[in-house]
Amino acid sequence: MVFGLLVAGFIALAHGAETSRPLLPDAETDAMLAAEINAFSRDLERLRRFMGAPRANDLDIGIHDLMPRDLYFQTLTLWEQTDRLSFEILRTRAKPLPTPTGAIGPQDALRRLQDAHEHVRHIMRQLQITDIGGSVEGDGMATLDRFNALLNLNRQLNLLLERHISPSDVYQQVTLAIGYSARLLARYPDAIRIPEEPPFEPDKLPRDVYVRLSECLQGIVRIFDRLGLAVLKIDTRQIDLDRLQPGDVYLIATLIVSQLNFLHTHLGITQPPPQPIYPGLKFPAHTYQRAAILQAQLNQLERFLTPGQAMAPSPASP
Amino acid sequence: MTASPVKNSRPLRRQLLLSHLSVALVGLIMLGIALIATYDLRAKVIGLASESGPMAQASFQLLTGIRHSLASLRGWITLGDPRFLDGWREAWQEEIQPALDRLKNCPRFHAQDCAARSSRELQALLADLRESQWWVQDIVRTPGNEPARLLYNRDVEPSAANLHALLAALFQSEKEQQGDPERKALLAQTAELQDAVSTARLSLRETLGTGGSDHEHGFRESLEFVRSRLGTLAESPLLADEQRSLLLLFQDELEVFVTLAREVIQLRQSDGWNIALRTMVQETDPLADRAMALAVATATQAQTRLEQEILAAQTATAITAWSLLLMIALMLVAACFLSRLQAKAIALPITSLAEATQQLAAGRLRADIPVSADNEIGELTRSFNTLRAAMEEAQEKSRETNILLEKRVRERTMQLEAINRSLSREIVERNQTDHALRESEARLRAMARAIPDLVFVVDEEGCYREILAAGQDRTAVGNTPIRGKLLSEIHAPDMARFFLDIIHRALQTRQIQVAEYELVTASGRRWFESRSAPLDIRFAEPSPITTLHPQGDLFGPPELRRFTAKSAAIVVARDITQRKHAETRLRQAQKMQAIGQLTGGIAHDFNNLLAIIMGNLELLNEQLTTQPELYEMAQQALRATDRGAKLTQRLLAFSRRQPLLAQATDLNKLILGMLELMRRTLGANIRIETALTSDLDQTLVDPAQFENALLNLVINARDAMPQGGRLTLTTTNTLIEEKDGAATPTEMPPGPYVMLAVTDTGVGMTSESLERAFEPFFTTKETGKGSGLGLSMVYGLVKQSNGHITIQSEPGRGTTIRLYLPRIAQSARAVTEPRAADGSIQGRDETILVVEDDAEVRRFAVSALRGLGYKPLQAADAATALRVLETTPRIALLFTDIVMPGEMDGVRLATEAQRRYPGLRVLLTSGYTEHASIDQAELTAAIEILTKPYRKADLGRKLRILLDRDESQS
Ligand SMILES: Nc1ncnc2c1ncn2[C@@H]1O[C@H](COP(=O)(O)OP(=O)(O)O)[C@@H](O)[C@H]1O
Ligand SMILES: [Mg+2]
Repeated sequence: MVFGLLVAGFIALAHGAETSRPLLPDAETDAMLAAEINAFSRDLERLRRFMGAPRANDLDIGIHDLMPRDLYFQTLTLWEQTDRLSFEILRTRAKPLPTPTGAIGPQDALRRLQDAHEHVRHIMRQLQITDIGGSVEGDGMATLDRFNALLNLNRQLNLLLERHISPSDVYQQVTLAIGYSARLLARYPDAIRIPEEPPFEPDKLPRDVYVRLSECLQGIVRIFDRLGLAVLKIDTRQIDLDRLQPGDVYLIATLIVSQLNFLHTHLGITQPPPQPIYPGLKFPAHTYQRAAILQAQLNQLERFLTPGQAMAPSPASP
Repeated sequence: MTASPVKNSRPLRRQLLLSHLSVALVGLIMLGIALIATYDLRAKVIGLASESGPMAQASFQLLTGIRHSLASLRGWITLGDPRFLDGWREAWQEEIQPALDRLKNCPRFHAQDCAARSSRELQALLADLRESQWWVQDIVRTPGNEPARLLYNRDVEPSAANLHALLAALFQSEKEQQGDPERKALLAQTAELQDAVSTARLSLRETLGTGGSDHEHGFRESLEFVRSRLGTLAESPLLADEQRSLLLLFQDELEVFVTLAREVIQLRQSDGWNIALRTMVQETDPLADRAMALAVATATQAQTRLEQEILAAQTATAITAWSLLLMIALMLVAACFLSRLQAKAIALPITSLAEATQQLAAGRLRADIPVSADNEIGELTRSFNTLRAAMEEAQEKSRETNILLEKRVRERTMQLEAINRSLSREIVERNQTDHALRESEARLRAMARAIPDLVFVVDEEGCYREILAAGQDRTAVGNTPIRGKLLSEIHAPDMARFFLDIIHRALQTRQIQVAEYELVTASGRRWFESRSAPLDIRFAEPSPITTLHPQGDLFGPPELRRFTAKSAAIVVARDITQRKHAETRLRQAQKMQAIGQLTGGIAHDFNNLLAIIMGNLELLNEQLTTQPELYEMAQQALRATDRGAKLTQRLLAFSRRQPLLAQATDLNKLILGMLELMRRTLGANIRIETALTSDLDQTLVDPAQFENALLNLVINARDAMPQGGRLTLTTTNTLIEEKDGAATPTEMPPGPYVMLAVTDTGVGMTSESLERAFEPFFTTKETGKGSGLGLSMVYGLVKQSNGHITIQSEPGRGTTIRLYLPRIAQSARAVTEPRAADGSIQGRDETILVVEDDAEVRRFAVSALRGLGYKPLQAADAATALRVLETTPRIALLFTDIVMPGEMDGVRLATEAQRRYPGLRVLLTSGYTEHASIDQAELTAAIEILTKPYRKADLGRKLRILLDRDESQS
């Protein structure tokens, strides 16, 4: 698993070679990431006990072989949640970090994670919790999958919040993904960039949204394969769908965004998608409906990517 | 005629051919030019119709579509009505997209390079516009569209609420610290602070709206005020510790509030305060403008092209028209000239030839015409001359022949006339004979069809020669053609011999032979009566009517129709099955009636004897109580008379002479009342099932006797099922239709009935037993077990009740006995039977009038009544009885025999007595009656019947029942 991750990271680095940033050696970064995750989870556990919040149970959502960019988006979610927590407890907000430009590497994930960790420590200090773990030096957690560890941190953090990650948040992520896909489709003059929304179907659960989104993710994986790009692996066969929370669905939505974002920069598209905004109260059914648009877009993308026709910039693209 | 010189010398033909060809050539050239011109024109017009026009149209449609989409989007933004969204979608799907498709489908348009580029550009622009508009419509109505407002609602409002809550707590605690005026000032300051916070909050909220910057100043002012007030408050020495901490909390929250408020104001002032509007202004509108400009350009381009094409088409049309006109003129001139030349060359010789022909026709031409030229016309003239000579010769010959011919024709005509006359005569005769024959055939055919019987011809060798009538139903002959077959091929050998015998007898004696026989047919065994008469002629060929007969298929294939002449007989066979059955039934009924009369007569006399014996024995019995031995002997004698009485009663029942008291009875109730008794009778091995119709109508029957009858049936069923089985009792309402019962008088008359079926699963009956089952004393049971009177009693009772009974049984298949009893519509009076209280049969000195013609019986009755404690009066006939009733007051009950000599019998007497004295109770007695049954409805008061012979105790019980019955019940 770790090896796979390393290889993937290597490929990602090879891709991002043109953005010459001073990089730490990968192995070192990875070790630091592991240590940081470990420390973070220890502190979070302390905070949890202090707040008397319930403990989240671990869940494997069946996604493996992740790229550094996926880790990055996971840490981004973590960061957003710590920011929310900080505001809820201390009524202060952090300054947002700049979004990394160019290919996303493990360092970006590490930086985010460190920043989020610092948030948590700040909260703990303000709450006068004394036994904050000091050392950030790596210890033996090499066996644990980084991604799943981050995932479980996110799930735990969500339980500390007053305003949990909600279906509306998932909705925003899906909308963002639609924006990315529309940008990608703009390269093909005959594409319908934003297909018609299907009729609203009530009575949907987070699990339904999850299933649809994981189908989207699978579509993306196929697109990456066509383009010969490395991508995560998804296997939803063994997931206990009934235990899924909106937070988990949010997670898969961010993974989708992460892939599309990568594709976006990889193809050199400059125009960014519209920033998603708070859409008001949304139910899983709304997200389910919206995800159908995304699915239709991805299907088109896949169709346009017939073998032999690489994603060369078309003359019609503005 | 030789070929070569003629071929070479045909200048006229060549001339003609040449002139026609030249005219045709001119026409063809003209046609070709016209065609080319038309094609050119057509191409232009098609181009106009299919491309330039639609292109301009599509461009305009595109323009309106874009405008429509913009207007709908604006409507959605400003009014928020989702119908605008539908309009927006419609604009894209039904206007812009189709227009774009049409533009793309104009190939000529794309042939031009610049047009193709602008089309692609338009498509890309429109895609961008659509996407941009989609985002605008998607976000414009969401809370996040105005980030300032979102922040305010989500974070500022709770913060302000916190501030308020803290101040409210402060104020409350201050109010509780009552006291000096300085404190009052503190309270006032707190209140002011509260006010200022509210104002700040309100002005901040106002900044969110349009023109919000006006309120920003107000917000800052009130914030200043809050700050200064807070400073003074904090310095006040009067504050308690708790109040101070509240104030500190307030200060902290105020900082949060201020930071957030600043953020809100910043957001509101930024140009992205309304994201959708910004996108609209910065992105969507410019895109729309560019798209529209491009569409307008395309439209103008198309318009220009259209005009050019129209002009070109007009010019082409004019040129074509002029050149065509010119051609027509040219051709006319050429044709005129050539024709004239030709006419001159041909017309002159032909005119002279025509004149000569006219002369020849008139017979005036005697000389040849001179030959003018050496062409076809010269040759024609030569031939004409030869023809003329030949004609002259022929005319001469024909004149001679004509004369000869006319003579021959006259002779032949005369011969023909003679032949014709004789033929007509013959035809008239033929017609007459034919008509007569057809008439006779028709008569025969009609007869054959009308005859219900079977009519056929059989020859001396027993061969069916002809079938003249097959009867109404063809069951007797079946569907196989029997014509030409031998009797022995159709029938069993003994029957065939029997039939042949009859035929021979008829042929020998020359007399009609009548025979009756039973035959097995397809529809079962049937009886026939046949009459065979010898035919006077030897039978050879079938008569013509048979070949024309509609049932021709019966007579076999045509090759079988050739027979040699033989003597034969005609046989008429009639189906008499129904008559036979009716005869059998009638015989059975007569037998039953005869037996009935016989037994009835005996039983009646016997009854009277028994009554006397019984009466006397009872009296004797009473005297002998002190002598046990004699008493026992008398008892035995009494028991014997009892048995005798039962026997006669059953016989009487069979002969329908049993006195019956018919009442409206609910058979269901009666059956249910008897179930327990039946169960005990049948034992454990036999299961009883009932299928009783819930709305069963009532029937008129004597319930006591009917119970008896039913019990008899149940006992028979038990005897038939020694190994156990099932007994089913079924009741239904049935209606006997007219046709069902019309066959013979012994069948039941049609009408509504109540049917009771008693079905068992026992051994069943043979047909022989079935025939005799109702006969009295007929039994198949060993002596001592069966009396043979059970079914006959049931039979008599049902018949006497105007009902009907049937048995359906087969050996081994069980038995069903059905009783049909007349239905009555009115519901009956509920006759409850008060049993004499605890068996007391003693009278209470009531007066009772005994009417009885038999003195012995009367004497017994009187002494019995006296013994029972009544006061009896007596009369020997009805007249006396009426007189006694008239003269004696307080007669409680009339006890009368039914059968009495004289005009008035017991029933009439009772009716008359009750008419006069309505309260009078009546007890009728008889061993025998002429009445079918006594309908209780005829009698108004309570009435009972006591069958003769009776015991004193029976009499006593009946009397008490009658006398104790409520007045109201009668
Ligand atoms: N339910 C029945 N099943 C078969 N046979 C019957 C039935 N009822 C009557 N029979 C035949 O009809 C005969 C006459 O019956 P019945 O008049 O009642 O006289 P008994 O019962 O005294 O023989 C019986 O002996 C019996 O052979
Ligand atoms: Mg019997």
